[in-house]
Amino acid sequence: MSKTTSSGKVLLEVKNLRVRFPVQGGIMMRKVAEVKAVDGVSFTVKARETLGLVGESGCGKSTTGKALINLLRPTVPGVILEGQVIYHAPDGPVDLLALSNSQMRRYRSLIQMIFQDPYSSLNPRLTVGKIIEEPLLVHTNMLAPERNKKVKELLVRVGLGGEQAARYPHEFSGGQRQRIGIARALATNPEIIIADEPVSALDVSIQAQVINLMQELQDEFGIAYVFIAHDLSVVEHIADRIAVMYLGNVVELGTSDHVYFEPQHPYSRALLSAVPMPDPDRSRPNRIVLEGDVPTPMAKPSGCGFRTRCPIAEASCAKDIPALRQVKGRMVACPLTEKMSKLLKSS
Amino acid sequence: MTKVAEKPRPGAIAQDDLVVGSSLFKDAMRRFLRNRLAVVCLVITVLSGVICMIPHLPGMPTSITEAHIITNHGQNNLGPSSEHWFGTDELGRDLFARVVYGGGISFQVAFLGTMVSLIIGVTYGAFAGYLGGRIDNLMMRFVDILYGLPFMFVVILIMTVVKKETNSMIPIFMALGLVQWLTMARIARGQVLSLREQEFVTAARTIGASTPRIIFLHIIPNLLGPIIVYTTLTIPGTMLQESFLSFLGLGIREPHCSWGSLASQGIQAVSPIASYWWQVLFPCGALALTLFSLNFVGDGLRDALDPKGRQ
Repeated sequence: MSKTTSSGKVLLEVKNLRVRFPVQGGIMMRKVAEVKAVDGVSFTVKARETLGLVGESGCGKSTTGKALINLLRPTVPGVILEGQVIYHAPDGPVDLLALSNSQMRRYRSLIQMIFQDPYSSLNPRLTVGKIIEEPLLVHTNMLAPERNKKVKELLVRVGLGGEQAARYPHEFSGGQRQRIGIARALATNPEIIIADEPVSALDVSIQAQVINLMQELQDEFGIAYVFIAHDLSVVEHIADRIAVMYLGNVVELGTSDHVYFEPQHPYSRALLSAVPMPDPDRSRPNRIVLEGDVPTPMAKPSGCGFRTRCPIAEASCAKDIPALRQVKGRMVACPLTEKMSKLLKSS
Repeated sequence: MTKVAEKPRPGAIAQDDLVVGSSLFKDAMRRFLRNRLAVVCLVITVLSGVICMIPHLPGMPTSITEAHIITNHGQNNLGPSSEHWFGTDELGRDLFARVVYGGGISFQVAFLGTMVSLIIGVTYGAFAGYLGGRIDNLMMRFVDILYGLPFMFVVILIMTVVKKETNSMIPIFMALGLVQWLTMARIARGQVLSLREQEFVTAARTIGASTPRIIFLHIIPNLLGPIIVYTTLTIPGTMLQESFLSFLGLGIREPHCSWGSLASQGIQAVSPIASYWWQVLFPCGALALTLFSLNFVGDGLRDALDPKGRQ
């Protein structure tokens, strides 16, 4: 599979995105604490590229994805969103976070989403045809015959027969349902698709088919993906660039070859050393086993969020949140990468 | 992939070219039809409903529609016979005609009262649950307050205020619907709270669908299962409450009758000297049979629509 070269224009610029959820307690439901789910994340997504967003459960990857598409505000009462998500739309840049729901509607056709659970992401009461038709109804003035034709084309394009439009979701397998979800996302010809763990609910053989389909569609329609996943080998396969997240921060951001094969941040090193290698001949990097649990995002450690579990943490790590800096061609949020390399060599 | 291009193998079930989806509803139907008791009860309910509604249909000859109010002097308190199947009452009116006619009233009140509560309750509950947060809190506290008011007090108040001006059945629908929708709203809201976290609702928001569209297209159709069940169980409840009100003399007024008011008159006719048992037995029997059947239909529907009971 050819990865698209990411020389295109910048489509999405995320600047210092912060998402905080209030924790309410007591009889009066007063705010007693805050969950800093996303704590100052910045990255860009270029046209036609795939940005992988990886990290363990609870690190804020899905929240970041939802914030990008402005899905958090109405459902979560009291959520605080800060920073900017600048979308370079065909008619000029716009900050998606600053838009009201009705203003956001016109951009919704251009930024779509593919969901994790193919079982709950399709309305069981609607036929597949109706599900795929919905974005066309909301965003276009197409007449019924045109819509039907488009629905059939989309179904065929994602590898299902056009005649399947009359069936209901529960008559399909997980992989087929995910294809239906992809067809729905494609209906309005989006520029960006946010894929929130699109394959983690599927079996491995089906995962490969869905990933390949997503790559074909990217080549054909020139879509950019923000691919959220916890399976690193999948991300390495599809992503041009990878952002590794830990406790609401991006700790390493670079091309997928850089991040996957020679990670620099102590956390990404630990994460990648945990990826199972199916090839016994390949030299296995030193396994780094992290002690303890991820601290709760309600009470993040001061300074670097990773310092409580970091094998090379120093007293200085508790002072400031480390900024991303250029190390060996990628951005790393750790000032001590050299120390880590030495530690690994000596062991 | 799923293309059915291959020729049917011998012995294989011929694959129809036309792909027709089998909806969840059809599956539920199939399961319902397998439940014999529920099917029998459905037949009884439908039959008694149809028979009782005949005198209320427009365009019926007046001999049928007015049979229940024609008094016959000298024929009062006759026992069941081939001429008067259910006997006659103290004014010599044919009790069979009155039971059938009164049943029609009971059915109308029960269905319309339930429909009123269904429409108000489901819409209210769905909006409260979907909008969530402070609005939900406010809307549901209002329901709690109404719950706190004693039901009979409210109904009696409505009936006595409106009763004098009109002889129509509208006040009784209002009174019953006004009370029944509260539970419906709570059930709908509870379901919506779990439904709105489903990804297909998020997907609809991602598409940019408006809130009413999401509620009416994505949320309410998925509520249908529990709502249908609760509705079929509410109809007998409403019917019973109507009978209760009529029994107390607050519901249907003379010369009209319902099963409740017939039973009330029948009880008054029971005396130590002569017990005209048919005046109590037939209206009460008809009411009991219908309530019994409706409850079993409701149970059957609940089993059929419960996704966990799927085979």
